Amino acid sequence: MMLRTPRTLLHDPHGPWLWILGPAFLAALPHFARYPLWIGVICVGMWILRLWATQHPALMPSRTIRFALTLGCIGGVYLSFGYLLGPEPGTALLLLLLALKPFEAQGRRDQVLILFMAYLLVLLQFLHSQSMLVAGYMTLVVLVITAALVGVAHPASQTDPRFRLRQAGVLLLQALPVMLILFVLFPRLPGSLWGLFQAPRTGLTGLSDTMSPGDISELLQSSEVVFRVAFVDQPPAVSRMYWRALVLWETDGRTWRVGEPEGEPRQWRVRPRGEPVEYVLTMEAHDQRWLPVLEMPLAEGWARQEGVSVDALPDVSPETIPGSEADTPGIMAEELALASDFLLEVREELRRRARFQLQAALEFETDAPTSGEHLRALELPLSGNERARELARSWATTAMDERTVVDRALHFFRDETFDYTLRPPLLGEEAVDDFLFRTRSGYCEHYASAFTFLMRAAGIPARVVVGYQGGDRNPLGDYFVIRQYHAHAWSEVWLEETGWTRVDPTTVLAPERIDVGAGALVPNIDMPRVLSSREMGWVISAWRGLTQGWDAANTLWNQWVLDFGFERQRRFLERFGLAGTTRLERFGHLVLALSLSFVAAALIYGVIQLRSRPPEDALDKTYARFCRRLAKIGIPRFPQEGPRDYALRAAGLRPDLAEPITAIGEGYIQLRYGESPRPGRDIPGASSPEVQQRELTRMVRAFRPRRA
Amino acid sequence: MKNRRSDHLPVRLGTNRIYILPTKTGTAYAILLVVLLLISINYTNPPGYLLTFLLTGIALVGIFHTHRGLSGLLISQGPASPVFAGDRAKFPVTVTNPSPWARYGIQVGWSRVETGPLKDVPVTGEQTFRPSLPAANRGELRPKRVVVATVFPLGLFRAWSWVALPLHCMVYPAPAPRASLLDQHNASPDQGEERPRTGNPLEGEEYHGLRAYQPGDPLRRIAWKAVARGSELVSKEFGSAANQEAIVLDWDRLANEEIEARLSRLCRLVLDAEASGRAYSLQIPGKRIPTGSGPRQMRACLTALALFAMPDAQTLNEAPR
Repeated sequence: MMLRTPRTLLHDPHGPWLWILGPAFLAALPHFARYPLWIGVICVGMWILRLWATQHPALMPSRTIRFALTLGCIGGVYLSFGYLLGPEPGTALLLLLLALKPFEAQGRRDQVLILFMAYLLVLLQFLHSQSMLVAGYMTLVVLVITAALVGVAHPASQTDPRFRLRQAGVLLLQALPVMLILFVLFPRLPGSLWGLFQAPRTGLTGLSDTMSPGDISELLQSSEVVFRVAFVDQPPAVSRMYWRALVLWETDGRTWRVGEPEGEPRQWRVRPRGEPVEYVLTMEAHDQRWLPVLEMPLAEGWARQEGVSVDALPDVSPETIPGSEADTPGIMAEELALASDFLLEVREELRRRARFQLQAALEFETDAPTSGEHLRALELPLSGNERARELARSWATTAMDERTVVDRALHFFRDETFDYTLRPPLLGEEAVDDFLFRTRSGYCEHYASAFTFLMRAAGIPARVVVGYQGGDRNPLGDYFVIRQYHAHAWSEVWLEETGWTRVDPTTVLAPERIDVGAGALVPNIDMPRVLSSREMGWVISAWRGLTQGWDAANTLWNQWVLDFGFERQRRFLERFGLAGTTRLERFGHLVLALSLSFVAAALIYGVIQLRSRPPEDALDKTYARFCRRLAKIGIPRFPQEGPRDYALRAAGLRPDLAEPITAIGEGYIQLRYGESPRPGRDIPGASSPEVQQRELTRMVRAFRPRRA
Repeated sequence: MKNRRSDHLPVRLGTNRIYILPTKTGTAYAILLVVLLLISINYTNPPGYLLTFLLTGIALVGIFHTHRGLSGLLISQGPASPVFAGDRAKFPVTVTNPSPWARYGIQVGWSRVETGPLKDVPVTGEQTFRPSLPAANRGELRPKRVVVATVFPLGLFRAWSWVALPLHCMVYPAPAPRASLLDQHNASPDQGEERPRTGNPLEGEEYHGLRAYQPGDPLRRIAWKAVARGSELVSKEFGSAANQEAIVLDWDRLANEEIEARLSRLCRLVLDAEASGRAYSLQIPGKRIPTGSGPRQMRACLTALALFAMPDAQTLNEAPR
């Protein structure tokens, strides 16, 4: 039978394993996209084999085969990654372990272990993408894993996924308050903790002073905030935001390096044309000295502002930028220094967040390079990449001027079938030739590298600039967030007329990247083409509303989840007078968080208990109130006393109250034990028990006896 | 643990008698949470924190859910059917759920770690568990208490409660093998009214006629055909004239044997005598069961055998620890 309903799939013998391997598969799915194909193939293959083996035990691999497979997997990971200790190969090994584990899983405990590893996989995915989309998917995965965990404790519901999902859903919903309390109160650390598992040169550390193919696309996986910028006046267009961090001069044809300049770094000057742009940059700690500055920084811009406090600035208050609270030094002019190549740098490695007020010129003229710089900007390895050199020389010999050569190169990129991809194929020894004539697909560093190489081969002084491009505008705070995925590389060429001129060869290929920034590439939500007709206007506006809603949700997610770190937590807690500065106080937060979350869980439980208690009888409640009121004036009801005796005794003790006491007592007896209303005797106008009861309630409410 | 002999039946599992502790899985889960937290801290990963704290919350809420699974249950017991030594004694324990929410994955066993079958107790319904014990020796088996437990919903925590129920199960002596018993017994010469017989007491019986049904007559002796014709309940009578006489099962006729072996033989004889349909009496030192037949007679005889030379208030076979 090929067609089987999912229900029957959940029956024995595969059912129990499907409940374990299904959640594992869902948790592993996003990882497969990131890793070499063979890992996903092995995982899925092994899991299918395991399900099969429930019916054909002969398929179970022997101990020897399993051992060989394990060794093979470790070897494969080493070959694919080049090292074993680190989050990346570690995750790959975990995936493979998860593929092999089912074959030696004996009982319940091993199955639970697989589910725990699935939870771990969910977390590891967050190291790579923290978008709301991923978080939403992972919430579902956590629900399914939890449902499977419920199944381990309740095997009878094997064929009833709704039961398990409902149980898990209830648990998840009730866990939300606990999660929020812990999330808000759990003490955060400023910056990363210990570099124990940190991979060598992983994307999270940001740009480095070398650039090889693949370096920047690695950064694209990370949404870690690098810096934030608030403009004093109108912000420039996003496509003009080129944040220069490092200038790379030397190459071996594949990797670019900053290199060692000869002699002292030269003082430079940028002559602005038009109004300079003034902005405040809040840099996250990155343990480096480079500072990404808007092209081109004005050397006197920061110096002029020396000694001016942030509060004196007209439009940029410290509140505008998250994480820039009072104790962060506003101006750090004395800590800034001119670096070569129109760059600024910090005097010491930046180990904490810092703010700088800077000025930039978007239209500018620069000094001519010195002869030494001129030579360095033309330097190429002695040999290699001959086809590229030849191509460049052919352009140079036929072109009128340098500008034409630049245009020809850009035309070459646009007209030939060059692709823009985040997953470029690997390049061989002759990296530039390989890229230009064989693979023809790559990310910005491929283009910047190849373009600069071509320019130098054509005799035009050129260099590579790495930094960031664009920024995510935060509409709530009116500032821009620049994250690791904005990392970019481009070229600067020396032209007689304009001085050092930025050329971004990537723009000819993928203009949308420059217009909206790389952030939009990551969770890409484009309007479907089908909907673009005019009749569908309302659909389009609805779609717009949706995307705007999505955007707003994303902003909230960014603000309240992704940016909720050390500083943000402190500012948030300060509002409640909980700001802890000493370690002891922060430890207090932890205790507070844990006890509060336990209280929250208990409260939730209490609410459930109350709700599930059978509703108290309204009549009894009313009568109990009557008894309480009598007890208050000294006539408590004895445990053995019936309502009639009680009423008689009370009326005898307090003749003044006899009338209401008798009426209430009779009314209660009638409602509780009477068969049907007896008109004329009891409560006047009594018809239905409901009316009687309402009347009784009213009487009891009005019954306010005082001590005699 | 103090003896809760005084529990009133049915025993209600109140909050004060429910214990709850993490299981091994729960401990592993705690380790998982620590690992997740360390990774989240190391990479300052906010969604990682969210996940870690969500899972922490699930476990915390789960504690209460597990506790709630037992809270308020009513535990009572049914009569345990007698067994022969060497069999397993089953004790029917009824768990009643008075509350408007269902209880899932309830276990009833003898110790905290022992896992019995998991059963669900529906809303305002009940469920009978039959935890069993090996009945090694004859006598009366009185386990002091049962454990009612659950790990639902997550398996991370186990809630349990000790319930002292007046459980008891009569354990008859193991019947001796069938062959040659009545032979031997009857071979003893000229004792009592009994005539020598051979083979199975049921063999060689002759149909005598019908007589009015008397309570205690075996069902298979009822003349169903006659009943079907509309008559009163009548029983068929079997046996020779000699067989009509009552069998006397006498301790002293099994001389030269050890006590337990004698009891086993007498047990077999009681069973056979009952199966033969004849009246029988039992004579053991200190006890005499007068002549009679039927299940009640058999039960009386077997109980007498089971309790032979047993101290009065002895509690046997305390639950295995």
